[in-house]
Amino acid sequence: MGRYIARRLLVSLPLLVGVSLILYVLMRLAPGGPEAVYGQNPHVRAEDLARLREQMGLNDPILVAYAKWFFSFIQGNLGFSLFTGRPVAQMLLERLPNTMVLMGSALMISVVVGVTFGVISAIRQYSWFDYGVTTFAFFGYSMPTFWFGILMMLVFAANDYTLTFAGHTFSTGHWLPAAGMFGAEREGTLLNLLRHPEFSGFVDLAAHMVMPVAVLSIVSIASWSRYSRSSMLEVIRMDYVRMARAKGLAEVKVIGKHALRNALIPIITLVALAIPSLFAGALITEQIFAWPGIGRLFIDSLTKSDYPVVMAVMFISAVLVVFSNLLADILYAALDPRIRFS
Amino acid sequence: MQNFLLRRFVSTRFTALLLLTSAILSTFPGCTRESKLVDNGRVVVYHQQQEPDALNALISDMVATSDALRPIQEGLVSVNEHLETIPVLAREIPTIENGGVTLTGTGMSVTWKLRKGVRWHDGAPFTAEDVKFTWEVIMHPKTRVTSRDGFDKITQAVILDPYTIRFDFKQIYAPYDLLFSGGGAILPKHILNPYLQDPRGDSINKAPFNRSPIGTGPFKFKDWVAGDHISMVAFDDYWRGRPKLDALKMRIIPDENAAFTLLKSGEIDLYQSASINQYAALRRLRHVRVSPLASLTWEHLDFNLGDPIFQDVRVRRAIAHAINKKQISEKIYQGLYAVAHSDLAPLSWAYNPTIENRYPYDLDEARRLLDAAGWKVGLDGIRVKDGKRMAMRVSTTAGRKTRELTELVLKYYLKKVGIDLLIDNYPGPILFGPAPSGILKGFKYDISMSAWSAGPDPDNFALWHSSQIPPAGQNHVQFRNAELDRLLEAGTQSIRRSERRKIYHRAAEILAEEVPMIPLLYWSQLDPINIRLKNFKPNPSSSGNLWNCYEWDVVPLAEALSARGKED
Repeated sequence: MGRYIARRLLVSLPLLVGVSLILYVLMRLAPGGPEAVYGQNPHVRAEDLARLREQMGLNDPILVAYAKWFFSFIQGNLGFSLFTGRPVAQMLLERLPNTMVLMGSALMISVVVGVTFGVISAIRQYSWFDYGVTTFAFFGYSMPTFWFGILMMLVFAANDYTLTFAGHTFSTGHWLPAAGMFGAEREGTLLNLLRHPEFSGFVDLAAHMVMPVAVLSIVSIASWSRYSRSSMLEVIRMDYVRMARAKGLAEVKVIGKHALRNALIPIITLVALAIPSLFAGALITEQIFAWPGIGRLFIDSLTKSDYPVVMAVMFISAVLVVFSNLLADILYAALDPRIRFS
Repeated sequence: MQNFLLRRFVSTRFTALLLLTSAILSTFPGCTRESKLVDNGRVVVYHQQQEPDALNALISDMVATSDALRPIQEGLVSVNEHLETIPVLAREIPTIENGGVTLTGTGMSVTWKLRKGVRWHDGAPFTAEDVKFTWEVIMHPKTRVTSRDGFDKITQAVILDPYTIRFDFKQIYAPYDLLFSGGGAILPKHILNPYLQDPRGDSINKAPFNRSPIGTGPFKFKDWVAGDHISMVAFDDYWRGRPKLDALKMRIIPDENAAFTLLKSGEIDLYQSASINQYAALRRLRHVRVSPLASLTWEHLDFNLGDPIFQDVRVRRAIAHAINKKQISEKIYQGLYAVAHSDLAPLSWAYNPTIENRYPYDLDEARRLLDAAGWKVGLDGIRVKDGKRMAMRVSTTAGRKTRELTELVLKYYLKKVGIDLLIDNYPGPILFGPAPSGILKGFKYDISMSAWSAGPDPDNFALWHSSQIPPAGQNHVQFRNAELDRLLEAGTQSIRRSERRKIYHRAAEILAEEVPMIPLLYWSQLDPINIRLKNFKPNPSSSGNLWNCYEWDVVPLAEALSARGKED
């Protein structure tokens, strides 16, 4: 096992170097570039542009620039943003907790709800519950996040529609804040709140999280329930489940101890594969709900061609993808005694 | 300034969807009801779509930066809502008449008299040293300043006494009065000098000051939560007197539907640059006031004069006659954007009204001009000359609904006179990108549609002078006209407004005669506010809407609503 992990890690190093080279070169070859943001400002004259290019280090050949970036990156220096002049690591760290709390909550809710739905609908296959969950799953899966986000905002935050539907009248209200992470009267950040815990602060945060977390979860509950349904269906047809029943075990024990534990193995590896999203955030949802996370930082930096920031987000994501794959494989082996690495 | 392709793409689609949703919901029988609104009290929360790069206007030329800094820092002058230059940290605007400007051979000297008794937020006095230092920062080789335009014409800064400073210019520079207005807000020497003198590198670009600035303005910087908001509190020792509000907060809201919803619930008090698609919905809100304001930005069609088809002025004039600008304004821009005739806005003191309606919508005249130019109608209704079909492309920023609709209408207009127009759009960063890969600056277009933002000064040297053809400048039209070159040079070499007015009137005449581009519309800005906000004076110049936040005030929303009830 130890040798297997060491070998996997060793193999992933050249892979990551290759990935970083491709990312860097593609990013630099894309049309536009950092100076495009000045393109429509007549005060930024040719001599200003030439000076800015030099100051931003854009005059180096791409491979030289890549080498500079790579060697400072492996020494732990993510560089400075071309536009803010701040260390990239600092820009990522101040947004990371925001993204993690959003993505973590959404992942937790969607896994718990999705797996529960999936397991129940597998046990009660072709029941009304199964059909209901399947319908809901496809509804959620095919729901575009931006449409769903706006719809939620309209119903729960916009505050002046009275709807009559199927004979019942109900009013939408300003029940939830439309966007952001904290209300206007509250200063500070998530970390400040954790350092000086305050009940009303957590309530405010929770209220702001309801809509983005709901949008993110409903879309992915769908896939989690489908995964766990099929995984469970496969397991309950196994001989050992039939054997357990034949032994006369209680149904709860058959499902809970024999079927569920085996059905969950692929689900746990899938959860491990979702780890990179905890870092990278959700591009569209963060944009709609003005969530100050890494997804928005990435979009902002990408549109400005802020190379050091874009590169850091993409490359750290790539590293996380490689390692979460390795973690998934290790977990699989640890949970399933039939699998041995050599 | 910055074209956020994805954001644009996403938000236009969002708007369409929101309207659709509203339409569906409004078909339900039911009525709107009085809602419970948020009232922010003595704090005004204003919206900004983007997040500033840094709170230093020298290294970040974003509108968002200017909006966040306007309450904190001040320049020597500012531009008011009527586009007049007003003194701020200067006691008066130097002119030839008041002796502040003296001509010295080929150059000039400008003497600024500074306001006394002004204090920085940390209590240090503001003096001429700070003004000189600001110029030194701009000219320092390590400073990553976006533009040195104008500042590089200054040869030396001489401090005559702590409140008087003289700048010597190596040549006459007409917009001298605007040099220290916005982008050149005065910086505190006592804080930043060590960073500028630091021999190790470019630490001035990375100074902590750029994220927690001080200034002389009515509000002190308090806090910047990345991606969320920037907050400021009233400065008790402000030289005009303590502002009426207790605090200001700028919230960063990228999505226009979220901004609309926040204004609707009262969580934000000012929503800047609302989409024109939201105009009707905004007008229905009782606690919101929205009045369109003519801006200095103008939408225009540019010809690629490098293309032989467009080298014949008759073709350019024919296209100008074939376009019904009034219809575009009314049908696509809901009448909010006025028809444009010139590269200067009617608000400008140099605007030439005599060129208006030089090219009325006239299809017969357009056809006659094209016939005269040798383009004869072919079998498919499209004109042909020397075996070449009259087909051309129009390019603009992809994903902007109003521009895409305008293109379809243009296609229809030009078809009527026998021109086949094809649509070929690009994301903003590619369209406006640097030469040679950029579509405009690499001359890879036939006709382009985009907008330029004019300043309070009428100088458009960078757009039309033959030396400004890319890669050097913005003249991607590749317009070469010896007389216009001379006029544009003379325009910045002259100080007297009456002389300059004559120069720019003639320049407008040449542009109207030669039609290197067709002005389409002047943009309007929609800045809806919560009616509890008083003394809000929207400003079309780069001073922005925050320019007079020192005199903003609020009344309780309930009071404002009942006052509005009486008006109705």
